[in-house]
Formats: sequence, structure tokens, C-alpha cells
Amino acid sequence: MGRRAFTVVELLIAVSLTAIIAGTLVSVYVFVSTRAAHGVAEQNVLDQVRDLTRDVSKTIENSVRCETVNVSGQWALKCVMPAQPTSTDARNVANAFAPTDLSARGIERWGEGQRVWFYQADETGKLGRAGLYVWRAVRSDDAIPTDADADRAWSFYYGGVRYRWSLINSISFSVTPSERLATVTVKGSVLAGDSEERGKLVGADELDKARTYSLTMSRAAYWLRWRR
Amino acid sequence: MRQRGSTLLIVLVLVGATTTVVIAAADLVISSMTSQWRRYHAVHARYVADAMVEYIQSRRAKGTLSLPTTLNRTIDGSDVTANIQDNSINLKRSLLVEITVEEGGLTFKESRVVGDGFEPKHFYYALASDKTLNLPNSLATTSPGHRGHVYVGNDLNITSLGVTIDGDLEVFRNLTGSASVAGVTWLGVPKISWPTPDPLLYAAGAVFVGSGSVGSHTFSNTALVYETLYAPGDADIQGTFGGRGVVFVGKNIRITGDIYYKDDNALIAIIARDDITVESKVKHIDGFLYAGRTFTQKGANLTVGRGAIVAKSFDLKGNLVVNYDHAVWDDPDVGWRLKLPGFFP
Repeated sequence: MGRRAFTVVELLIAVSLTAIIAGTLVSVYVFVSTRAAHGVAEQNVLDQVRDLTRDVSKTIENSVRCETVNVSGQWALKCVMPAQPTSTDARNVANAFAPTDLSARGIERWGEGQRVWFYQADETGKLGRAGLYVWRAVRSDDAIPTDADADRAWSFYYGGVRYRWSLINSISFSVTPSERLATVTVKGSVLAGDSEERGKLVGADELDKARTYSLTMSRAAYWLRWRR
Repeated sequence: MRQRGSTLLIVLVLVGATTTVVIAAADLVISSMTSQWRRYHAVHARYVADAMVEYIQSRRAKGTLSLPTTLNRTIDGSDVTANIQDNSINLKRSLLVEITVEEGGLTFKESRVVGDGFEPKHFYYALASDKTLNLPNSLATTSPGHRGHVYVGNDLNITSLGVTIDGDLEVFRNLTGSASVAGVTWLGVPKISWPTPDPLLYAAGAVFVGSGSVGSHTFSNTALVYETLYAPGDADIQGTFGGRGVVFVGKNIRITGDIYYKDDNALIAIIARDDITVESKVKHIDGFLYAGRTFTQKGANLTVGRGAIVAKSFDLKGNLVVNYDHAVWDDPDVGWRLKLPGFFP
């Protein structure tokens, strides 16, 4: 008995099944990869907003006092840190302090040390120039920080060219001195699929799938080492 | 067979892709929850550490905790261990507390330098008034390390523009007017109990000088015992004093001339159960002054060169400068030997 060829019907069924399976696979792939990209994007903006909020609020908590300062229309937060640091974190920023003296009632007094500033400026880091880059600057006196005081290693990975806060749109501050309270509000957003690079546009064919994820986080922190 | 193999492959790819996505999503969620969990416990551990420090300070204030020691306690469900040792070699009257908090399967460690819990006393301040203090003239306090603190056990009314406090300003009730304060202005501060000296305790072992005048004198003292001059009635005081000792007057003291220390080692306490009046011509006083009733300054300018003034109330008719001597704060035993009210007996 010779080998029988496929009938037309069998071929059509086989082609149809293959098309259905391939179509399903492609749809699943597109759906999964889109959702994954959206998920990663959401997580990235959450990470940046949370990390920035945490960095600023920890500085506030460790400080002797904070105030907002307006320089050429740009608002900045200035925190005076205790005089005697005892350890630093991975970025060489003091994160633990020892008191310099005790009050008449035995309460720790901290003295006044470095001034840590947070603000937005352009890529030069000079306070007073409008821009979207978030900067931290450190000085040992009350003078307005210059671009040389800007801590590039904090704003850019390893002090290089890759910007660390690429998804942050704005950072704002409010201070209530009578309550020794400062509030930091950070806004971030990302266009899904554009999670890494600032200003990169998605292609026209992707626009219908693109979605902006926005996040605003506020944290109120008390400065705890207020006895100078 | 080949078709079944292809189908199986496709199914495996689908299952693999789905599993990868599910695992990735789960990992994100778990990572986020873990971060929140750690953050919560870190904050809680900090409050637990605060509570442990307060407990240690209260035990030290009561004198029920010897150093060095290790304490274990459970606070708000967290197990806390604290190693406590004297840190006076780095900062006088401070403790080094190394705290470990175990909670939620996590361990938090923190090292703190804190005050060696003690009750405040009037002689820890450059100027302390139990009642309302009015400042119509200038007042300046100084001390190395910004320790020229001022305490007022009622209201503080400042009408002078020249009040400069090189330390903290603590007021029990209300503050009117303004002052330049190097430290912290603290309103509503807990009141410090007013100490009243018992004459009998001062008379024991004292040299009786009778009522009259006390002039220049060098006290004979050992490291542990300071000489006491005792006047049961009123007394006038002026002159230069050496050594370390106490002048106790049962009624009123009139300071009729300048009082100076003979050398850097000298320390004297001038204690009046009632009033201390400083005559107009007096410009300079060294010593720790205590008036059980009113301290009156008649002259236009008076400087306390090294010491402090504690009085129930003040009547200041001129400008006053107080350079605080923190020997008593650094070592409260010195306050006890000087028989300063609040330290003695």
C-alpha cells in the first residue's frame, strides 16, 4: 500500500490550528511583555520616589533644624546637621552623630556642623537656575551653595553621566519651625516602556499601548536633635 | 509523533513563559512587602530603643543602676538588650548605650551617647530664679561650651533690649520680651523643687563667726571636706577668698565690697537663708550665691566673675553679667562639699 498524501481538508485544518496557536502565542507574548514593562515602570518610579523621600526625611530627622530658602525664585531645603558625626553611609554622608554636650537637665546637645541642601536646578547643579535635576549640596557655613558644593555622586550614579533621579518631576518642602517639623513632597512619573531614559519618546505605533504612571509621596519628619 | 512533539513543545513554552511572568510579579510584590516590613520594624525598633534609654536614665536618676552593666527587657513585644557603660571620659556625665532590638525575626543594633539621667538643680544654671523674674536692665551670661543657662520658675518679663544668654533659657510659665539665646528657649519647662537649707546641718562642724562681718579668708579644706563659716544672724561680706569653703548666714547677707577668688583653685559658696543685698559700689563677685528670699543688686553694673546666682526672687537695678562656673555641673560632689542647697545634705 503506497503512502497516502494529506488531503486538502487535513492541510487546511493543520494550517488553521497552527495559525490559531501562533496567534495566541503572539498575543500572550505581547500582553505579557507589555504588562511586564508597565510593572517594571511602576516599580522604577516607586523606587525613585521612595528613595529620594527617604534620603531627605532621614536628613531632616538627623538634623538640628531645617528651613526653606528661596534663591532666585527656586526653593531649597537647608538642614543644619549636628557637629560631631560618628559614621557615614556608602556615599560618605554622615548618618550617625554623637552629642557635643549635655544640657542642664542632662539632655543631649548636638552643636552645629555641616549644612545639607536639597533643591532642583539645571544640569550644572547651581542653586537658583531652574531645572528638573534634583541636587544635594553640602557646605560647612551658612552661605548659599555654589555648583562646586553640589554632590554629584548623589545625583549621578558613581558621579558619572547616568542621572539617578530620572523619573522625578518635582520635589517641594514645607517647614513648621514651631513644631520642628519639615515635610518633603516628591512627584515622579514614567511613560510605560520608557522607564530608564529621560525624554526618550516611544514610537508612534507604541503610543496606543503607552501609559503614564504618576506617583506623589509626602513624608513629614521631625528634626530630633534640636538642642544645639 | 512529530506533531505531538511540536504541540508538547508549544505547551511547554507557554507554561514556561506564564511561570516566568508569575514568578517575576510575585517577586516584585514580595520585594515591596519585605521592604515595607523592614521599614515598619526599623521605625518600631527606634521607638523601642528610645523607651529603653528612658528606662536606663530613670534607673540612673534613682541610683538603682551601677555601671557597667547589661540590661534585658521586653518592650512592646520586642526583646531589647542594652550594654551600658560610663562615657564621662569623652563627654562628662554621659553614658554609652549599645542597644540590640530583636523583633519580627530581624535584629537592629544602635549605639547612642546619652545623658547619665539626673535631676536638674538650680546651680546647674548661671542664674536661677524660683519666682517671676523681671529684667529691666541688661543681663549677659557666659560659659565655655554655651553653658550659661538661665532658669525661671515662673514668668520671665524682659523689657531691656540687652539680654544675651550663652546657653539655654528655660521658663516655667510665660516669656514676654525677647532675648538673644545661643541655645534653646524652652517654655513650659518642668519646675525644679526649691531647696531650703537647714541651719542645723550647716552649724555642725562649722567655725562660728557670729553676726557681723566676714572679710578676706583662706579656707582650710581637704579634697573631701570644705570649711564652713557660720553666722547665725546677719553678716556683711567682702574681700579675697582662697581655698574652698562655705559662708552660711542664718538671716541676711550684705555684700559691701568686691569679692574675689585668690586663685584658680578657689571655690566658695555664699548662702543666705533670707536676702542677699549687693551694695552700689560693688562691681565684682566670685562665688556661688544663694538667697532664700531676694537677691538685690543696687549698683549700675555687677559682674559675677566665676560662679552662679540662685535666688527665690531678684530685684536687679543695674546691668548684670554672670560667668557661669560649671565645676558643680561637671562634678555634683563639689556641690555637695560646698553645701549648696539642692546638693546638701
